Formats: sequence, structure tokens, C-alpha cells
Amino acid sequence: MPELLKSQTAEKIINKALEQGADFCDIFIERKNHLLFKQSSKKLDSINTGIDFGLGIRLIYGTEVYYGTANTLEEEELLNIVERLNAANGTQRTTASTLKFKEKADLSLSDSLSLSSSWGEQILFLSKMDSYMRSLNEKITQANLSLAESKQEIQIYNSFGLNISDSRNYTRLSITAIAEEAGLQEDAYEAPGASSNFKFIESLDYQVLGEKVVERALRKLHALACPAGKMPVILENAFGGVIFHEACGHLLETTSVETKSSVFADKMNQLIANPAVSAIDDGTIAGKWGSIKIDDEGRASQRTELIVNGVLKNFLVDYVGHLKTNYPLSASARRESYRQAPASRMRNTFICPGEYSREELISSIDYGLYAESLGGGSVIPGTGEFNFAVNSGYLIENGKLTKPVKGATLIGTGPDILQKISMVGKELELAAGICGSVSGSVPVTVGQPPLKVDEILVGGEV
Amino acid sequence: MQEPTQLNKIYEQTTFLCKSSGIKDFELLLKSSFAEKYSFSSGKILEQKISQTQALGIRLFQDGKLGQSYTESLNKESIETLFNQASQGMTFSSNSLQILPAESTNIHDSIPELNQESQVKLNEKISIAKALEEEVLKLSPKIKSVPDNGLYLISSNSKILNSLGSNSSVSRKKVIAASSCLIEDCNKQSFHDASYTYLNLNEVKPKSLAKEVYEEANLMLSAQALPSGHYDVIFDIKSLESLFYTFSLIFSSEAARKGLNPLWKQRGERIASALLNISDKPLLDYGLGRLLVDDEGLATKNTKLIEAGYFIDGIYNSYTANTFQCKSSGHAKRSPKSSLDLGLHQPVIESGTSTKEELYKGSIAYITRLDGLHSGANTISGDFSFGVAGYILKDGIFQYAFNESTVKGNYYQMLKNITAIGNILLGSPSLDFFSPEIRFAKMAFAS
Repeated sequence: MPELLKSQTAEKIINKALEQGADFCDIFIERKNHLLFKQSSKKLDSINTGIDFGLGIRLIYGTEVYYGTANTLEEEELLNIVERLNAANGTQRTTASTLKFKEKADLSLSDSLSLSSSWGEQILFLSKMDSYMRSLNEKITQANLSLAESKQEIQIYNSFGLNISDSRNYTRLSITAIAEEAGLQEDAYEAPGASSNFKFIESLDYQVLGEKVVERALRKLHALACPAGKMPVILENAFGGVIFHEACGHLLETTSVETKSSVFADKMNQLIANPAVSAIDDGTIAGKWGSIKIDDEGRASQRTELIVNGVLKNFLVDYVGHLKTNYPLSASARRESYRQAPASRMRNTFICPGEYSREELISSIDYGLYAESLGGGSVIPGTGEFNFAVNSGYLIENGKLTKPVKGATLIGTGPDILQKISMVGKELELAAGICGSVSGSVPVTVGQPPLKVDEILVGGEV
Repeated sequence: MQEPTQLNKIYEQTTFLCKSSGIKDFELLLKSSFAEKYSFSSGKILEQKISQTQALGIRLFQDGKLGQSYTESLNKESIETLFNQASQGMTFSSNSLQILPAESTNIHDSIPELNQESQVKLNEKISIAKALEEEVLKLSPKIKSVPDNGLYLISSNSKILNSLGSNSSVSRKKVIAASSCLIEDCNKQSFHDASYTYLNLNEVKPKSLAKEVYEEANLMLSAQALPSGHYDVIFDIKSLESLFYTFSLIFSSEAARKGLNPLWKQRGERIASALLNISDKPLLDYGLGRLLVDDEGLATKNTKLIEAGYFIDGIYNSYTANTFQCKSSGHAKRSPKSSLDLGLHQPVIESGTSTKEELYKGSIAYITRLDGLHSGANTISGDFSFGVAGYILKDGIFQYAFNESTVKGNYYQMLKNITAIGNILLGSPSLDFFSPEIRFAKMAFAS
């Protein structure tokens, strides 16, 4: 991969930052090509392409962060940004800096994938999937599909002499089916994604995926409103992992921990979850949506054990988080783009498999909810209060799935819910999602095996 | 940020490229911004940020086909790549009703009140930003931290040029101040945050913002679960705005075009209480959402959406106007990176006749926080289920605070269940949404 910013320019910028008193400086340069196809109303609705290009310069004085961005490589303008950032800090130092970068490491050489250049196959795929979904049932009145591909090329320089570059491929298919009957409309949604290119989409069984979404939309037409109240809940695998992402994952990021805004900030090596729970954040799983070879500070990705048998073992730590808390770095610095300074974020986060079959989980409940399809959620890290949505599921009565239900929000607090995960199933599955937080929206994987929460508040019909 | 001369060069280059390829119509949309941010943690800078951004979007039109692309790099090679990608997209395009608006405009929206220059020095900005944390921490030893705080100064510009001669622009300057309070007492935590938009830095009042976030967080420390049941509800303006926007696609002709607007077929019919009147008022002279020109370069205008409970009409851009064979209502919204869409500029729910006493008569659940709006709402069916917090009031008098509860309902049914609308118009914290307090009958709460 060619240099996105000449090392001589980077050297001048970093030397100027150090000479003006910064303790650390890094530059993150990014070029990202996007490709997005949308299919709606039985035809290709739009093709959108584009190029993001820019860089972010970060100066750290002690633990204070100063960050500037630009869409240009003009040396004078970039040096001017350093000047302005320094003016806000006010530190002056006269020591001359003589930084020399190490030899450039180019990680893009090993497995860079090309972005699709001829688009016929993508368009054909969407058309085929659209037709198939509509052919399954006449009540399917609309299929909205999109197929996104992007290739992000990055280069990072820092004042420790780092000069590293990488390229990252992302692809994602989003499928929504709308079913209509007697004036009532319901929808269902799936969105598989991977760190890959169109090859991943081609590897999907479009018929199985289409049938799954269509069946769920049709079922919701006749589903009952979810009952309300506190009850035991079985959360299905894959996107069910959003419960751990919201109830715990965000609270383990040093972004919250460093400001004492996490309820888990002072709980290292303490029991914070039911001993049935062990959880990992792993950025190294090949091809997964949340995987990275290096984080956005240039550190080689890691597998980080967060909770082992209920005991908190590690936080997710970026460089500033490390400076402020002294916890070991976990290569968790991530950002949406050059427009944000990096912050500690999750990658592929999941609860480890346990020993129970799905049937054993369901049969252990007299009356409760089987949450089959989960939506997104959110959390307030300071109080641990989280919420996430159940799109569809079934009532559990006397250990068996009975009536289909739809639409409910589950709420609780992280510390409480982690203690109430009492049974963990065997079948771990991961699912792609987008996580929005302090450094923007980043691709993450959530995951878990099916699991039982002994009691959670279901916001359904009173 | 790019000088106009550079944009003119890009226009000339695009004209040349189009002519060479036999393409007649094109549109360029350039948006750029300069933003400063200052936030603090324990009296030290958490982040100081200056960001300059720019993005140029192109749309090419030829024989009912559309090609579109964008770039953040504006050098000659990037413009060529931009053009080539949009041209390639055009070859695959289905027949589209997207065309350039026939009307050529020359509107330059730089309303002086919404473009106030900041004469404030750097150290004063830093001192105001610092106060957004400091003033909160002063209020009680129970306060653990001020996790979210920040002062933002944002200057943005948008310019639209097209091959029919349109040349319009919008520029804006604004200041946003945000603060929060995380409080702990007897092992119980409570959090509240708030942010407001201002015309200039002198309007920022860190002390009153600090008082607001502290008092709300402190009050919620004593919150308890609300007994399950049905309650009449009034939302605070921020929660009402969030709920309104979650379901605002009912006004969208774009959603209708895609078969995703469940109320579109009911235009002309009664869909809400006769008390309800809603308009979009981009020309309202006291809102910060004032706007003279939309993202296709067309003039905006005030538009009636719901009158006496009847759905008058939705909003249109030139594409959906072509689809539904009417005129654009000047509601095109688009970033250079996205496809043409539409959106409300400055919605106003008109004041009713009820006094405060009439609105708050009897028992009311006053909602101050809705959680899970992005995931707990089904905009197709109107069903929603959200986490919720607020207070129970009796004849307007505070009884107790509640949280750890959920509210479930159907938005389209809620519009019919309005029992009173207040006679005082309130503005949202960003001053681009206006509504009086509205009382909704019997919503379902669970705990």
C-alpha cells in the first residue's frame, strides 16, 4: 500500500508537537472507499459510491487530549493545526526533537481484498433475493435490501517511531421484509456482515436467510403483544449477545472507567457476574465483522478475557485509558474514522459456551419469555441502566414454547442482570452490529449461546 | 474550508466532464464545517478538538437514469474519480423519476441572527467549558462525576450548484453546551444530562445548566418502580420531541414511496384527536431551525401537516413530488454522501386552550426520560415499548419519582387519545421543535 502521508511530513508534524511540549503525538490517516446498493419496490433504487479521505492529529500533554482533523495533506495547514492545538494547552518547551520512524510495517500486503469494480453480480444478487422473498408469500408487500462494501486504508505514525499501515474490508447485507394483512403491517430484519468483500455475501444461503426473515414478519402479523412484568427470559444466541454488550461491555471500557463513570470501575478481581458467566472480547477472529489486525493506535489486536467464572479480569484499555488507570493496554483503541480521536471500544464480544441444551433452558421455566429475535439497545454507564428490544419470540408455559409474541423492551441494570444469568447454553453464535459511542459508530460483533436470565423486567402489555 | 473560487473550478471541470460524456444535467452539493469542542474531566482537559470537514456530492442525470457519488478530497484527480464512479452507477441505474428541479434558484441563506461571529478569546472559551463541569461538582459532595460535558462551536456551510443555473447556499453558526451529573447516595446511582443550543457564546449559562442536571439527578435518587397499570401521561419537551421524530415518517412521501408509511393512504382523513394541529415552519422567525433553502436548492415554506386531527398532506422533495405528481414542498434533505431524502425543518405542534391547572388535573405520569427509542419502536405498526423515568404528579403537585419501569403503546393510537393541549408553546433544547404540553390518556406502564 502506498504511503497515505509522506514520512517526512509526518516527522515534521510530530517533531513540532514534541518541541512545543506534547508528551505524545500520533497521526491517523485514512482513505475509505464506499459502495452501497439499495433495492426497493422490486428494482434497484440507488447505487452510491464515495471516498472518505482525511487525517487526525492527536497531541497528549500528561493525560489531556488535543485533537485536530483535516481533509488535506498540505504540510503548512497540518503544522498550523499543531500550532492551534498547542495554543489551547499553552505549554512551551524549547527542546529540539529528532524523531526517526522505524521501518514501515505494511499489514495490508498479507490479505488485502479488492473492492468490487464491476457491479453486475451485486445487482443480480439483490434482485434474486428480492424475487425469492416475495415469492414465498403474497402477504410480503415489500422487500427492502441493501448491500454495502467498503475498503478502509489506514496509516498511523506516532512519536514512539511507529509507522504502520493496514487495509480493512467490510461487507454487509441488510434485509427487511414487510408483511401486510388487513391493513396491519409488520416487519422483520437480518443483517449479516463480515470483514471481507462480496465473497462473503456470495457464501450466504440467500434462500435460508430470506425464508427466516419472511417467516418472522408473517408470524408477527398474528403474534400477541408481549406480556409485561418481571419474569425469566431465555435469550437466543447470536444477536442476543447485545445484553452483555449493553449491560456489561460498555462498562468495562476505560472511557467510562477512567472518569469513575462505570459501576464496575473499582471491581477488578471481584465477582461481578454469576459464576456461570465467562466473557471474552476478541479482535483476532479471522473474518469476523469486529476483527482488526491492529487497533487504531497501531497495536496488534488481542483476545482479552473480561470475565472468568463471574470474576472481572480485564478492562478494555486504549492508550489514554492506560495513562489514566494504569491497567494494561488491550489494543482496544477504535474510532469510526479520522474524524474522531480513538477511545476504548469493543471488538467481537461474547459470553463463552456453557453446558446446557436449548431444550434444557426452556424446560426449566414454568412461565416466561423466549426472546428469539433481538434488536439494539443502550446503556447509561454511570448507573448501569440498560435497555434492549425483543422483536419477536414466544411465551414459555410449563416448560414449552406456546404462543408467538412481538415487541417488548427489556430493562435492568448491568450488575443485577449479570448475577441473574443462571444457565448458559452450548451453541455459541456471533452476529454483526454497529456500536455508537464516544468515538463514533464502529463495527462490532456481539454473541452468546442461548442463556437464561432468572428475572428481567419485560415492558409488554399490562 | 474551500473558497468559492475552488468550487467554481470544480463546477467548470464537471461541466467539461459531462459534456465529454454527453451528460446534460448534473448537481454539485458541497458541505463544509469548522467545529471546536472543549470537554473536561476532574478540572483537566478531557478533549479539545478542532475539526475541519468537507464533502462534495455529485448527481448526474441522463434519460431517466441517475448516477451519484461523493468525495472528501477535492483535487482534480478526485473529482475525476467522483465523476467516473457516478457515471458507472448511471449505467446500472433503473429508470428513475429523480431529475433536477425545473426551477432554477439563487437563494443565499445567511440570516445574520443565525450567523453570529464569536469575538470570544480562546481562554474564555476554555473557562466557560471548564465551568460546565466545575459548576456541577460544586453543588454536592454526593456528585461522583460529570461524565458528559462539552462546549461546541460549530460553523457550517452548504452550497448547491446545478447545470440549470441554480446557485444557492446556507451558512450557520451555533454554540452547544452540554453537562451532566452522576450522583451516588447509599449505594444508589442516578444520572441526568442536558444540552442546549445557543446563538452565541454569551448566552451559555453554566450555573443554570449545572443546577438543572443536579436537581434532576438528585430527585431521581429517590425514584422507585411505578406500580403497573394505566396512567395519563405528559412528556417533557425533550421526550416529546424524541417520540415525535421516532414516528415522523408518517409525514414522509419517501417512506410512502417505499411502502413504509402506514398512514399515507389516510391523507385527507381524520387520524388524530381534533385538538391536534401540526405544521412544519422553516420560516418561523424565533426558531433556530429557520431555513430558506432545502438541499435541492428549492425555497422552503411553511406546510400544514395535521389540522384539527385531519392528515392534510406529507412532505416532498422533487423526486417524491414526481412520483406522486405534485410539487416539491421544499423538504429535500441530503448530505453529499447520501441519496436524496427528505425531512422536517422546524416542526410546530400548535398551542391548544388548556391551562396548566386543566392539563394537570388528577393523577399524571410526567415523563422526563425515554430509553430505547432507536430499538423499541416499530414505525411500521406504531407499536413501541420503552424504558421510562419521571414523576407522578397529583393536581400538578409532585408525589414521587419513578424509574425501572416501561411504557408500552401504539403511537398512531396515542394521536387519537389526546385529551388536552396546553396554551403555552415551549421550545426544545435545540430550539428547532416547538410544542405545548400534551396530555395523553391511559398509557400502559409495567414494573
